[in-house]
Amino acid sequence: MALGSFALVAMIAAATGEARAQAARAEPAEESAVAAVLRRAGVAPTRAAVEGRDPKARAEALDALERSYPLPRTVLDLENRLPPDPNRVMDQLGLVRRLGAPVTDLSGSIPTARQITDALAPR
Amino acid sequence: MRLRPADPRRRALLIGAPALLAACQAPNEQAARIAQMTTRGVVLTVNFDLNSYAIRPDAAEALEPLAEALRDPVLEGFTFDINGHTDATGRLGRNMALSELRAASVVDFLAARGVPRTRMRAQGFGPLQPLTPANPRAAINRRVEVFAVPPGG
Repeated sequence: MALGSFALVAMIAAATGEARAQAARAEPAEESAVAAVLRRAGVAPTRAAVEGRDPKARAEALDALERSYPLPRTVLDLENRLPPDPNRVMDQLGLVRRLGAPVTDLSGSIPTARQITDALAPR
Repeated sequence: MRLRPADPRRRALLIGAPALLAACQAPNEQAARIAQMTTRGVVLTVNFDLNSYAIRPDAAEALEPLAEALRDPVLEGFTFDINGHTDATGRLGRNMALSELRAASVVDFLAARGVPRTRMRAQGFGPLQPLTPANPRAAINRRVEVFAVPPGG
């Protein structure tokens, strides 16, 4: 009886250990896109910062992200207007533009999935 | 008039002709299909609160159909640029940050609904690509653009 209990405990321990080992070998969970941006800006991706529902955490995240951009202060501080050369700024930030791609305007209302698919799918 | 029995070689050629024709046409059809696979985009309205990147319930309502569309088998193999845009009201730096985090929030929303993260890229353009350059502070410039980029595009 005691031997049977010991064997059962040993089997459970072995199974638990294997489960832990499997978990350790598993791919890390994919990070959220917001968390990745925050981390890049040097902000700890706390739940409050990632969800953006807490005004203080949100403001700190936005301030840090602003500071992380490789742009001169004079450009970042432009108020209510565009920089003289927006393309240069986009190039500096490595933003990919799809110039010349046909674009369907579905703004102003909630489109159906079919409308979106039809607009994006190959003709 | 007496009909001659068909030449076996000729008959084999006739039988093989459709297959030969199909083989010749296949590369052309494939080339045409690839040629038709150009990058296409849509402009969507996704409302956010002032200075916020949290997804509002009404924005979620607007994003559900987008998630369904991007999961459609017709877009299998495509990757998606999710671009956030603001108007020019306020500081440029703050608008760049807001648009980037809003685009990232949209990506997270779509990923939670089954669109693979590896197929999406979030970008924040701030006010740098206004729809109305003459009036960059107009509300119409606040938007999300989604581009479906074909394989190899």
